[in-house]
Amino acid sequence: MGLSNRNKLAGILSVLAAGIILATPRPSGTAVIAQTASQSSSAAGDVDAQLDPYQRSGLIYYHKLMGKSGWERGQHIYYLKCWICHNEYAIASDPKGAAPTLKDLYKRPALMSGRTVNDETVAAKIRDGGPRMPAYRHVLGDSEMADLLAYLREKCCWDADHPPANPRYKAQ
Amino acid sequence: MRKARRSLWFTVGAVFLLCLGCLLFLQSGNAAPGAGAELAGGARGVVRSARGFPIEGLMVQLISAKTSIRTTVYTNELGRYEFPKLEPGLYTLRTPRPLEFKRYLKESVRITGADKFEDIVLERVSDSEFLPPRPDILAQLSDAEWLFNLDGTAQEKKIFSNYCGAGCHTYQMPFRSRFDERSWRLILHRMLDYNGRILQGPGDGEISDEEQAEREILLKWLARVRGPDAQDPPFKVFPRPHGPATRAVITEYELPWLGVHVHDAFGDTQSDNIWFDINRSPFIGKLNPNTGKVTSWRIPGTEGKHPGAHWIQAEKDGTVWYSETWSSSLIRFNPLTETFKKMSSGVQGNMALAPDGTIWRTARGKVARFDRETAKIVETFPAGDQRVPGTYGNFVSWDGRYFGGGNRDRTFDGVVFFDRQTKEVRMIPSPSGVSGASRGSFDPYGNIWVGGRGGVLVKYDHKQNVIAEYAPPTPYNTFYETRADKNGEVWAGEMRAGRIARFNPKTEQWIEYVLPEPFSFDWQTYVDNSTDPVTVWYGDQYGYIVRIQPLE
Repeated sequence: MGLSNRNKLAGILSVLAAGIILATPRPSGTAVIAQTASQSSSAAGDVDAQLDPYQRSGLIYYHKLMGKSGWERGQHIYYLKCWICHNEYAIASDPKGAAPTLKDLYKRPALMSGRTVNDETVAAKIRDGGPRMPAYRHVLGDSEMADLLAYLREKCCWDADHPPANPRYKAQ
Repeated sequence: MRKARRSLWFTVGAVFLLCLGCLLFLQSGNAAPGAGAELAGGARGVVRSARGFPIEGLMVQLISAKTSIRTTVYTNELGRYEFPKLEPGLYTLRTPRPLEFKRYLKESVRITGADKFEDIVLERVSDSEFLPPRPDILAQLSDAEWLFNLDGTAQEKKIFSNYCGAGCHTYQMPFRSRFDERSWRLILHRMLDYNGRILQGPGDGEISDEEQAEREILLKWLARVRGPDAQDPPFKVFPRPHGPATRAVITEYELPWLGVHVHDAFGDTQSDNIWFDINRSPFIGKLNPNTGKVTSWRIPGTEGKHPGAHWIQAEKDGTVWYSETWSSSLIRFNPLTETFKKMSSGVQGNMALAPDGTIWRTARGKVARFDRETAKIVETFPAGDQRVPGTYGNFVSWDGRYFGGGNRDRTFDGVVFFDRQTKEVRMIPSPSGVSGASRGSFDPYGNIWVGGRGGVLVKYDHKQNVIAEYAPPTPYNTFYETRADKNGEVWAGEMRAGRIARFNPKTEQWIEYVLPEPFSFDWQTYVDNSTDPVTVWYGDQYGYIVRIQPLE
């Protein structure tokens, strides 16, 4: 009735084999739930918290490719929304009809309307537009306007010859 | 006794072989079906939903902390994914464009080899099939998904696509904006009546009644769906890829600059590097795919002209040719001596470099050959008064015998074909008349394939004198160019869909590889036919270079 040594050994090896197989990592092993800081720990309006910092499209959509805030973000807004009409090549090709350059805007004595140049008057111009300029009042929120004004005041204007460096480029 | 001992060892061996076989069987289940050995064997894992179901077609990405190179693979029907072997080191693990699922992001993941990651379990963004218009969702939508979800008639959307989808910018530019009708009118005037991609100088102002009527439809539609009070709707997104469309590896390479717009990419057979040019900044460069390193050159400018190139191509001896679009120049660059020879060609856009070194494009109503030393036109076809349109795309067949070009305007929508041997020139109108035929290539059999901005691929078979159009499965897409590979399959960036199309003319089947970014602004695909399967490259409008390696 007792098992032979051979059968005992085979049985032991079979159990061992089953144990090895069961111990092998399986596709449905331990799990990590997706990080959802965007939903649980931040207000719905907090764009930075909602965006994947590596998703380029999010940085482009919210004008954060060149910086999250300040004149760096303003530079991106300027490039996407202002440069296409206010660039020096458009001005050269249509001197009478082109939009004016915004370089050194804050050093001028007055806007073309005659109003003093300051954040308030420049913002009003951007919000209201003009006879040949769209009104951006429904496009730019307060923080975007502040960043754009910072760029116009401190750094303007976009230089196609010298685009900003990409901090993510690391290859050597 | 000896017999019993032999039998014992036989049993031991059999059990171990059984054990080994079981292990191999389990492990093999982790590999992507059909994966080439060189594109598998790296880190792996499983993605499933919080409800326990495997998620197919989800992208999983590793970003190298050392090089910033992004490697993306897709989950299969079992939710399993497997990376190629990557250099050991630290990586960021993430799920690009998860859309209906909450994102996963884990920093500083150490890769040592064929690591087995913990399962990624994703929760849905919403219990509804319609996704809320939150910032993270809006930023993941492709142009086609945007257009699919906005209110409007087929006519309104197609007119928008025809006028605003021809290139230059993604739809997020208008769709994230809100303007009143007066402002939209000013924007449309600027965008449609000024010249080129940087809107220089007003055009001639001649607009047909038909075009004026379409513009009014477009204006009213934009003012309605993107007016001051317009709200974003809940979004229905397109299905995830499955089957063959999940069997590829996508690699993205950073460039040294921000805000630059890559135009063409072209492989250097001497060094396996990828040459590229920038459309709105004064650089050309080459990428080393193994390291991600970019070697770039500042190209000589032209006083008063916006810097930037359009077409680039390398010859077998390493000589690089490119066109400077804003200054209407043709440039020859010697990478060894780092010298540029800039010649005024008088034409903008792209040109075609034939295997025999001759340079071609349509110009001044003819198919023209340009001199390599002066960029002056030295031959034109056809003889006599017959004129051909100035095609947007210009390309030469693999054997150099044929020239082709796609053209899109209201007077002629179709392709131009020229046989250098017989001197015959043909103008073949597209079947629809609104294909928007632009850039393209010949396939190995001598057929022309061009990308149509009207949303189709256009094929011209000069032997049968038959022209046909092929629409992709994804709606609201537009094309710009194509590149046929050595097997006759046709590759093209789906400009509005965030996908790269692979079309097999023999079976008329499409594979659409979804990309990690919702953009796929591919101005010129390059196919490396030296690999099997082929390797596909393009430079993206948003400043990075993309490699697509199909596994089958």
